[in-house]
Amino acid sequence: MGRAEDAGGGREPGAGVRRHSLPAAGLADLAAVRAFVAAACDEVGVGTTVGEALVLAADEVCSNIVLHGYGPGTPGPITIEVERAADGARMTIADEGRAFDPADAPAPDLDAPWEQREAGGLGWYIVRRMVDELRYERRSGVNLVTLVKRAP
Amino acid sequence: MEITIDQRAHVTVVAVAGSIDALTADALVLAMGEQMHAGNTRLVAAFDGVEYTSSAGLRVLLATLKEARQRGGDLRLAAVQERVLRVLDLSGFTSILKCYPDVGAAVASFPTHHS
Amino acid sequence: METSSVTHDPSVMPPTPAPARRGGRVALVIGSGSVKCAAALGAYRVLQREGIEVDMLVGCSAGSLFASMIALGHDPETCASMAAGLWTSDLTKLPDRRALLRAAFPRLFGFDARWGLRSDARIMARMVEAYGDRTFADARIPLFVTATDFHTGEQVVLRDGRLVDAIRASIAIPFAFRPHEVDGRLLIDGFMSDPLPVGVAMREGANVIVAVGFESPYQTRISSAGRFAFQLSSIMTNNLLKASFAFHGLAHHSEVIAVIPRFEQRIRLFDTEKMPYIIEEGAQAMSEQVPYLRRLLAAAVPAA
Repeated sequence: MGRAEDAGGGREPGAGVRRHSLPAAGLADLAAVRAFVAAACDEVGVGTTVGEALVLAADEVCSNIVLHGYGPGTPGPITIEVERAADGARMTIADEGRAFDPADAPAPDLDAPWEQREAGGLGWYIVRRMVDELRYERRSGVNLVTLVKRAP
Repeated sequence: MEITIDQRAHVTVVAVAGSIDALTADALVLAMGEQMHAGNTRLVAAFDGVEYTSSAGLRVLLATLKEARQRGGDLRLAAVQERVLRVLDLSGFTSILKCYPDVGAAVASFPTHHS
Repeated sequence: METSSVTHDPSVMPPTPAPARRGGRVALVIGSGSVKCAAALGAYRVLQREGIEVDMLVGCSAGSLFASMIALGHDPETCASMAAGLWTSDLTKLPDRRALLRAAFPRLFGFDARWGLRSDARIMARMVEAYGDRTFADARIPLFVTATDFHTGEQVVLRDGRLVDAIRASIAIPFAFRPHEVDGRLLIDGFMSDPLPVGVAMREGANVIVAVGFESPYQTRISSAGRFAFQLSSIMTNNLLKASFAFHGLAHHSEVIAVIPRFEQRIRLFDTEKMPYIIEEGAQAMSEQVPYLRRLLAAAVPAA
């Protein structure tokens, strides 16, 4: 289980990067991830709209990483960082699972029973609509998803 | 996440409390499935205790909705919290299923006669 | 309005007896499409001929005109002549003179949400003549008319009150007709929230949904500011139509049967003289789907 740490920056509210590290992420960690993101957004000083959007986004991204990036039974590390952006907040999620670009989220498999369908489609659609920027890069075997949500 | 079943005369109320995410969604879909296999296809999901849902929760709702309707019943929601309603709205779910302010209204929305 | 009995075309074989339907509820959804919506009359005629009852009607924009006429119990021929009298190109010809002044000098003449370039006097007069004070309660088949909340963008489903008010709200085309207030909400054309409101039929318990919908036409020549604006509107409307239809199709537990007539001729918004052709194409498109529709209904489970 990871713990939230305040890495870098000063003592002023808002400044600095908040980080949450999961060495072997599982679905059971999602609740803690959500709590971390909510607290981080609160400390950074953005409103509840931004907080709610990033909490949901973190949940969706991490669920996908656990279920599809690493696969059930072979957990791996996930690191989440939250910091203040110009007029909102920026969240970066890094993992070392298989390459997964949200833009390539597979179309829903209409014949499979619901419990077995790829987690991609619906979750990503919601995330895309809730955040203002969504970027994916892969650098040296690490997936980096960056999300920015600006205050309304 | 907690699930409580309340069998009314013609409708089954499934009260859910807590957060619905990829971990807890399985328990909910199983509970709903159990009810439908037992012939209880008129379902009210009481959501006043649900403070959060991710797309996992939406998948459960959709799967249950389709199965219930295929069996001649329906799934209706009651007392959905604002935050959860926002997610339902964003993903188009409010356009395909009925939401009521409280359990009483949701239960009453089902006809009492059997057609 | 008198209801005339269904006339049988002697060249058509007498209808074969319909197999007993085991419990599937059929909805007819008529989306926006101006005069093309008359195709729904052809589809309805086919359903009647086949003995397939329609259990609910949903209408959006011009579709609400046809949906309400069918719901009131008029046969397709009467509906066609009512529509021909109502939906003519001079509907949008009466200018609202003050509207231009208000747009040009908003502070001087006052500008608010109740703005439209054309007067709706003509359309209202014709609708009152056709519908009088009839309400949703006068519909013999459950009827739902959709509009859009001008302030929130939400879809608003109208199911009671005067038909004239609901339809006027549903066809409140932005820029042409000013928004219409119903029950304290300012409403505009239903197509702005969903041009083909299949979701309403799903919520109201339909099994098989027959959806008659149309893409908004793209302009061939952009020769005026009006055409420019219309082209933008068509682009957005069509994208909304496709996205919404795809979502509803995936989320529905049964089938959404799209009745898409093949129009070989070009049909402009108010070409009411082409209605007989439009109705025939609608009937043809519906006929092709009847065998499948029957199979779906035979498999449907009665309501619990």
